[in-house]
Amino acid sequence: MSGEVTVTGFGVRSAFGAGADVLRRGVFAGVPAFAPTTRFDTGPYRTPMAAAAPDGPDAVEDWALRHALDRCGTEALDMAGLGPGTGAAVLLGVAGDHTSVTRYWRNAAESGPATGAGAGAGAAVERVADAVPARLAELLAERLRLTGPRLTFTNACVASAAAIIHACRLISSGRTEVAVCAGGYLVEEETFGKFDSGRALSRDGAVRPFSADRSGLLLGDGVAVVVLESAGHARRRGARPLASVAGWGAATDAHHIAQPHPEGAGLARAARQALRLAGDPDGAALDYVNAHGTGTRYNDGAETRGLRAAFPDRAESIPVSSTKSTTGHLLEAAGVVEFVITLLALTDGVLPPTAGFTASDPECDLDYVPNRPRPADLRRALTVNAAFGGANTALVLERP
Amino acid sequence: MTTMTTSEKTVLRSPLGILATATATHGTGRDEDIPLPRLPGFVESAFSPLAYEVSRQCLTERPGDGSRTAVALAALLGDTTTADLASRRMVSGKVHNPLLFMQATPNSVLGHTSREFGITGQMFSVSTLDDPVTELLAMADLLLEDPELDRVLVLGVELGGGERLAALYRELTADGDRPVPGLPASAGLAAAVLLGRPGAGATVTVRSADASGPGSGAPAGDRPGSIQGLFDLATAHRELLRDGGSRLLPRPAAFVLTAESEARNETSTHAHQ
Repeated sequence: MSGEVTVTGFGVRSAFGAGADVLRRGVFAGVPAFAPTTRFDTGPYRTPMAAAAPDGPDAVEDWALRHALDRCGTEALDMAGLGPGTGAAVLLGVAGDHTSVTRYWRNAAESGPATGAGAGAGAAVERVADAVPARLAELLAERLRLTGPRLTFTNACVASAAAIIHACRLISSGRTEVAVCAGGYLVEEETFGKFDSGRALSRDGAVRPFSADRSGLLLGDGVAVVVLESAGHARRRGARPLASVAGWGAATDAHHIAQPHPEGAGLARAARQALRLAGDPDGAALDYVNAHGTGTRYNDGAETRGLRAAFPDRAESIPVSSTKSTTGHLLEAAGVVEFVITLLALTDGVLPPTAGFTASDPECDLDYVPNRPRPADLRRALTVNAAFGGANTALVLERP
Repeated sequence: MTTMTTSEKTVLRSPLGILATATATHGTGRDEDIPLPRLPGFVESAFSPLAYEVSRQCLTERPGDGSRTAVALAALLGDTTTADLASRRMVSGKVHNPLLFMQATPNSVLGHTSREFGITGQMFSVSTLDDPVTELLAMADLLLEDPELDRVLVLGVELGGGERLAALYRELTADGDRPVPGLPASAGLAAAVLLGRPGAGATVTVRSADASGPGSGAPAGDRPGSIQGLFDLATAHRELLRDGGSRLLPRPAAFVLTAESEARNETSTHAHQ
């Protein structure tokens, strides 16, 4: 590895609103953002609950992903002190804006097939190409006037973590000096309906990761942009790094198309890779883990065993929490939003709790920071994510 | 759409070796079309069966250590057949089909491939409006710098489409003259290339050609994100295995493919200079 990777800026939005302060008052206080969503008719589904931001001063136009990404990107570049014209790479984790698919077919159904077939010019199908993941990266780069290469990762719940890992590889190998990494998901009916059909959504309106009575996940709004930069580049322009990315890893379970490996094998492998790269193969210097922690029966036990396998001598002494208990599952955006949350934990010296934790589960036997934040002097933290197909990612952040 | 310059993204730092290539088409009207392979748990769409088919061919032809293998799948739009089917059911008030939930992301078929071939290296999928060959080869070059990886399987998948895809391509190409797909709605294309570094059993090497010369820019006649370049690469690979020699693959950043014997002679010549 030839170059240290630093973080010099971020912008973030969630159901709590825009920016870090609302995350501090929500995620770091252990206050869940779940409420019956009014963004679409939830009547056909088993639950109306999601962590979807309400309309109000913070709302982005039409709840369109392109606008939310723009706003976060502008905030991230401002914080980093980078201006338009920067040759930064743009690496995005997103599945496309599904609302454009719904809008298209709803319009076709209401207006008849002829209108649907000729839908290119109609106002009702405006932004039909926002369903294309790569299109959103192009729009973000154009809006921020970033001239570097761009690539969109579409691998579900590790997509934005994969984008960050790719950026780390590009920067550490000297191919790129600056990368703007982003991820976005805003609650909408297409995905909500699919998760409902898969019976993945929580039955009691809460997400209770690692708790004995956990019954599933709930979806949440999440959009974030982080600026990654080589340490040399940041130093030359006088930028102050917020943190460095000391290690990264990615691995696959080779087990099932939709369920995690029961022993968390791929997650353990990804975490070990990241720790080795960070020069700490045993996790001796690790102070906190931001877990994937979806609150599903399958994930949380497997993840616990995977973390135990990754650092067997230290697992019981490292606090682990799932911030999906407050934000909901942010899908493609989970990696980058939880990266920001982990960064805030390091800089603020506070562990965000696992909210909704009511009862211990024998198969989940680590310190999950239940329900209340905890002050801690943190230097290094690991954030992990997992996805359909057995994909796993791990990132180690370090405070300067 | 802003197009990247060649020098920004395409140059391979080190040569790659091609271990195997595979292509599969379904419902396109081409002579090579195959019946859609049956893939347990995947329904209605050609996306996952074709992705698995080309992966299977490469990984069966050249078995290797799955713990040192990564996989990258490029698809501009993903599985649009599944997305449209699920959406149309939803807006017409029908209940969702859980199988469509399971296969909605390319991760699912990658997970199936990983299980069948014991692949535990990184697997991921990307979407690009530019040339997938360029992106995937650059990605493989980067990944193979990881000392924990020896092989990268890259593949591309593209489906035919109906009215929504036509509208979508019209919007994507509104400021240009690139064509929209002419594939029937049920058609699908997939191509895969198994890559390593030269000398690890690879029969053909790939190097970056002069990136600043003629041939830079968007490939003429290709639609955004077209995987035709992967088919061209597979064809060139087959010809080189049969005939030897070298081929120039003129993409936005050109690549030179050289059969192993020529590559060895070239290395020997350089060694004496």
